[in-house]
Amino acid sequence: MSDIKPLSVDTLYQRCDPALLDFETTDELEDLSEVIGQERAIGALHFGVGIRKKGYNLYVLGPPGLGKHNVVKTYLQTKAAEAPAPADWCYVNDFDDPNRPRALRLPAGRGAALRRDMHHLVEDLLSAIPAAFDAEEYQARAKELEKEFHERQEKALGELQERAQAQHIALLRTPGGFAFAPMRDEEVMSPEEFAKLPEDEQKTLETQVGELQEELQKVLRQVPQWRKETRDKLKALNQETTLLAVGHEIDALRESYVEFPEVLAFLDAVQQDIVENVDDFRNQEEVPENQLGRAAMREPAFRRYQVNVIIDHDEETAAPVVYENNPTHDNLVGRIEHLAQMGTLVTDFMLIKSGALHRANGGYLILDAQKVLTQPFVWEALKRALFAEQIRIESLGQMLSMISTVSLEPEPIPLDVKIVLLGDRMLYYLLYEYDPEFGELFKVAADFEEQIDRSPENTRLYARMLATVARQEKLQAFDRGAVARLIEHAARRVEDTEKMSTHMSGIADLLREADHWASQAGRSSVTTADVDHAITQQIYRAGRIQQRLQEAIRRGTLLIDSEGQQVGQVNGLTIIELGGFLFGHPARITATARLGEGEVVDIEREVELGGASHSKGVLILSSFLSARYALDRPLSLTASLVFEQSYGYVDGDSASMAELCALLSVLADVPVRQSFAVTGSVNQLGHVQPIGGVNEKVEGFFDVCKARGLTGEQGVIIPSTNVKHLMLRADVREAAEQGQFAIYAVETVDEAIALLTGLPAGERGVEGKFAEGSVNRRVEDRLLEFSELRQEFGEHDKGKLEVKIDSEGEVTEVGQDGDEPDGRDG
Amino acid sequence: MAEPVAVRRRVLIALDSAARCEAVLDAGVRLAAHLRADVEAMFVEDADLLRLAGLPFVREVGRHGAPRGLDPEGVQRALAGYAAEVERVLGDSARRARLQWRFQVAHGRLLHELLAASTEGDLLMLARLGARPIEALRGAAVVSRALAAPVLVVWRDDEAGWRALNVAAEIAELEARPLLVLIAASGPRAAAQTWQRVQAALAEVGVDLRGLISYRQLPDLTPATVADAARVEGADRLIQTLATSAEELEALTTRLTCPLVLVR
Repeated sequence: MSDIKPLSVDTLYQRCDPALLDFETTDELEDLSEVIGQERAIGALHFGVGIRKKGYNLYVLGPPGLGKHNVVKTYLQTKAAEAPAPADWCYVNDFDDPNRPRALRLPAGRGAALRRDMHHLVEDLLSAIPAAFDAEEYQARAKELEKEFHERQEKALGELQERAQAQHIALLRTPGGFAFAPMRDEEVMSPEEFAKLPEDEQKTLETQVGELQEELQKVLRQVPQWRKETRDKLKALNQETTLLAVGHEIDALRESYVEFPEVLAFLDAVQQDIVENVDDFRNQEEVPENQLGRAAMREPAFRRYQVNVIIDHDEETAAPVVYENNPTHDNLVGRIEHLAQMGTLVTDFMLIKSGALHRANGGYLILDAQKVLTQPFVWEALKRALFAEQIRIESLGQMLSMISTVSLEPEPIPLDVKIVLLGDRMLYYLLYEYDPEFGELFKVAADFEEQIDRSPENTRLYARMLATVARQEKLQAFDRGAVARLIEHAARRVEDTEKMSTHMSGIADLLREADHWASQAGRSSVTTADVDHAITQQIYRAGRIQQRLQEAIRRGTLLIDSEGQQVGQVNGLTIIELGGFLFGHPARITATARLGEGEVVDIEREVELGGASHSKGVLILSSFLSARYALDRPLSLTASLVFEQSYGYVDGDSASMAELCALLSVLADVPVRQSFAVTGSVNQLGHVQPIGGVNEKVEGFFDVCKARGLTGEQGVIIPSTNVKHLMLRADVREAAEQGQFAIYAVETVDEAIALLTGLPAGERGVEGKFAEGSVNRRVEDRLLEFSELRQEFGEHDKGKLEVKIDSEGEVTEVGQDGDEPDGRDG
Repeated sequence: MAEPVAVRRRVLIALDSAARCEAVLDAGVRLAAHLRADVEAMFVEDADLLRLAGLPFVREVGRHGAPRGLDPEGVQRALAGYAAEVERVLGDSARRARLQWRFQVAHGRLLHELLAASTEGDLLMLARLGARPIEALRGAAVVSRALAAPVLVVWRDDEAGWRALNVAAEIAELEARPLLVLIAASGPRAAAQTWQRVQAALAEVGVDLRGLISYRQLPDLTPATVADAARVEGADRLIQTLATSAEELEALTTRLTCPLVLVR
């Protein structure tokens, strides 16, 4: 017997009255630029972005779908528009050490200009240098040098030759050099003729030839020195000519970049290199003038004068806001590519590619925390860059010794960027806990709310937000009935009549789907029916498992009673979440009790199918029984609780009230009405506490009852603290209104057991006893009975001897505690 | 391209142990193909060299000034090796050009043997090791490398001289080389006048060198002056008439650093 009345229909659902919405369709509403209900997060965002100090990077917390990314990006773009475009960055060759390319910083747009200037310089020099060397002045001076060299040889050799001829000796060219030979009749003297000469004449000839040979040797040994001198002069002439050709071209560039000392140093190095390698320009094959540029680009020798503009902010007026969707190591810090040439991998400064940090330098970089953490080496690389405040491009292959080839060590670039990590809360707390550097680098947390207050003001803003999304998505207008329904659904999503969901992704999905169904129905605006249909269809598409479970209950495979009475058996309620779809269904909970030592056995825990929260709930029951019924004697029972036909993991304590009711029923030997289902957790004082998923649980039992036929006796008992969470389906509300289904809210387990058994729970009277006939009295009597029985068993057991047989076959009687009995032996 | 100015029966190339036989032979074969003539090469074993090698006290002084003995048999073997190489290169080149070719080895003096073997209508090419200079200044490109090495022709105002000019123009046109005409004149005016005559004559026979023709005034046409001009201009070949004295030709070939083409 209970005084508790079913909840009135108006408490089962908090409607949004369309009449309160002052528009006909969302077309009449202005776009909403601000974010509603996220004051804390937005404040943190403003603070984190505004403070330009080291380590004040942001971590934006919140589950996916809240629209964090859009909010952050929109805000950052607004802030970025107030800042100027940052500097361009270029890599150029270091002529002293080509493996360490130099970084050049130039104002926005000047990087590309320098690249063009250097390109034109090479083009111009390709014609200017050959022209300078073809000029008459150079040709004349070079020929003069050659002539001088030739004449030195001619003079030396000519004098020698004349001396030889005077002695009838000729200088002849042999395949390997030169030789002097005595002549006779215009011919070289034959060996036979020589042999016929008188001995003294032979000796004279030999002496003369020998002396000439020595002279010749002296002349020939001087030739390399003459050659070197001539070459040096020619080299100096070449350098002078090159400088004349290059100097004024580079001087013009110097004037353009006079305020950039690093560029001037680069131009000096270029000039020096051109002078030293002028043959690269002189040896070009003749190509048509209009192809000179392309020829220069093709020619690897000229790559070293090019400029690799890795960051080009030409024509940009704002600081960059970069979102890197795929933050691999290379995509973040840049990479050095290689080309396969003749079977080997080669690289140079032109193959340096920028990363997201380069692109965002001077602005903002948005990254997904999970992606950053799951990509190898990215988190460490990001921290390294932030700590060092510079971007150092390090090849991952080189770092891991995976590539054995020449690579580069580009000069690091100073880093000034605000990183915004987007991620869920769990990652934030884990990082904070386990990475001591995280807190130093990400000092600002912007925590996004998943729900906002359902105040009249927020309701109007919410409607404008829906209108904004509809327009952005190019959807039809939503009439106010549809908007009201969407607002109600937003409350249902967060299971709170006083709140609304900020899960924009889910809301936007529903808008799109409602628009689709409206189009299918040929409507020009979206109505309440379309939103309802969209919600129904979402549930239907996701509800296969739910339907199978309901079917199993209907066909009697899953044993759930919805009428009659049973001792020790209560309909509990569970929820299942699969693929983002949440649904409830009843589960039979049974309890047994017998004489024992005061323990309540959680069978789910025993077989390791129960979670810690569930076990905690069951242990609380044991404590409740002791505290209420066995204050002055041992709790002498052993009880077992089980979720029948449950073969999966069970967790949470939302069934603890149902379990307690089942236990009380079996102890009191009072049957429980099976037309009820129960949900709620209890504490050890018997107070009922709120649970999650109340709507789905109620609807789960309603569906079972409805399928079998509503009797008017059926209902669900819920914690009274959950009433504010009720946003029940329309058919449940209709059944409740017609008195066919009832929802009861209870504050104590006594209220619940009274409803379930139809008997009063009972309170202790003046003598400290529960009222006769009450459930509590029956429970207490039963436990007293167990206690006395246990005492009897205890006395009976006293003096009972155990017999031990030792290894030598001797029999010994020992007491229960192992002591030797008084002087007896066997 | 102009038609060959005269039907020539043969291009006769004479070489001694000059190292760059490929270039000379290849040029000769291409010229023969253009003239639809046969090609014949003659390797001349220098009699003076063989005699020299037999003298017991004579030593060869290498380019770097190191003396070494000369062995007659070694010189003979080296010359035979050169001859075989010349024959092989000529054969390969002529087969590629589908020309009739012939090769012979002679013994004596290069110019003498060449002149003795030549007949009317032959075009003669000659490449030999001169005594001077000791070495050219290699690696120091004086003339712009954008242009091919020029063909030089010694112009003389006689019938043979005009023939030489025509042959030079043909070769330059065939090989797309600049043609430089060496004109002996007392002053620039006289040289310019001669040059106008030369241009007009070439235009008459249809030679079109598209601006790649020029002249150079020389004080005289002595072997020393001509050889010096050839060296300074980095000539690929020097072309001149055979109507010169044997002594002058001998002196010229001794000094020349490029092959000589003689036109009868």
